[in-house]
Amino acid sequence: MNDFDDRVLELMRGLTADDIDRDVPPPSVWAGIAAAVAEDADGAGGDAPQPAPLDRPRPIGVSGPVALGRTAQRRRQVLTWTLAAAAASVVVVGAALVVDGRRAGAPDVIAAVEVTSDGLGDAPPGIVAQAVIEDDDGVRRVALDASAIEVADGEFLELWLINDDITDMVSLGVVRRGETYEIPGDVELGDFPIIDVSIEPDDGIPTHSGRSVLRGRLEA
Amino acid sequence: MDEPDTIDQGFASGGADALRHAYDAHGSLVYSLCRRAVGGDLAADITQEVFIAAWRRRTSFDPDRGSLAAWLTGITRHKIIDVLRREARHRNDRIDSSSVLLDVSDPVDWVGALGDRMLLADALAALPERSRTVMHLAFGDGLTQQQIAESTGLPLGTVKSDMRRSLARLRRHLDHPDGESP
Repeated sequence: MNDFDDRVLELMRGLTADDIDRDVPPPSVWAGIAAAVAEDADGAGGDAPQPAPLDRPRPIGVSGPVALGRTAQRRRQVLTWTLAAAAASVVVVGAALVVDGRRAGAPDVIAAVEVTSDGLGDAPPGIVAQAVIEDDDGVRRVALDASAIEVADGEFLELWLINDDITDMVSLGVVRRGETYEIPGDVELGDFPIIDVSIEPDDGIPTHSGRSVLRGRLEA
Repeated sequence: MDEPDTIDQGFASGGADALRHAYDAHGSLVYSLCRRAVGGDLAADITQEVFIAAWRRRTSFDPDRGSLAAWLTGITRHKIIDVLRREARHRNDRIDSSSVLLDVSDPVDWVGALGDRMLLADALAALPERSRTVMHLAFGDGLTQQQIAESTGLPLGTVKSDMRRSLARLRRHLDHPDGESP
């Protein structure tokens, strides 16, 4: 008898009827597997991180990456709505300018928030920028200089407002040098106090990539 | 030496329907192991995770080094132990006997041994009838090869070759080095 024979002997002596009984998994199990694998196949090269059913949400908190997955669909809806609202406000603002061409007063600063790359892991630590929230005649905008963040070809930066438990977020749009970013009128800043900049691959997927590079929190 | 079967080879090469075939062959093994370790609610979730994870890292499965069943069982063990650890952490507690359904002193060892026994049960079930009988008489009842030959009426040489072939198949079925630490 060699070691393997001994192991088989021990296992066979320990075999019980329960070890032989098999339960058939419910049909939902295969459905979930097939869906996740199909999503992999749709993704870029199949190595994009995909949520599995039991995946722990990524650490929740200001310094952690954003939890993705379960609420992705909802966020997609939020973003769709945001884009629609932004389009509508362009029309409104344009109309206002035509009606009242004199409107040129300096906006009021509502808040200034320091955003930093510290603790985020997707950018070198120590990068600090100011996000300034202004009230421009009833329209709130975020001014932000994110030029210290290096962006690779095929990627861009996106600005987000996120709620404290990282379950909901609103996109304020693609970050471009010298631009400001309008906050939709019915977004309460107290409900979305986290200001976040992410690196987004140019893959057409409107949800947050999970790769935050700057973040800060608006204090009440 | 026993050859890898076609399901195992299909899985390694990632062909069409390979995952479905692997699930049909081993889904109930993985699910049953999870059920015994952590109960029905989590078992479905973990089974799903195991097959998704296995498919994503299928290139690390080598059908020449062991069976798909053993490799999947290795992944299942790790997932079960992850779940037990996670639950223990939520309770600010170590893994202990209250983490699993049965009252056992070392759940990690217990899950490992349970997986081995269930794999062995599958491997025995896959043996030809005569070989299975010989193996049960030899390892279950502790008979010598001579006693087996006498009690079954088989020639001693047949008993010996059945046992040798069966043990080779069991070895292949029970072990996959990468499955131990995926």
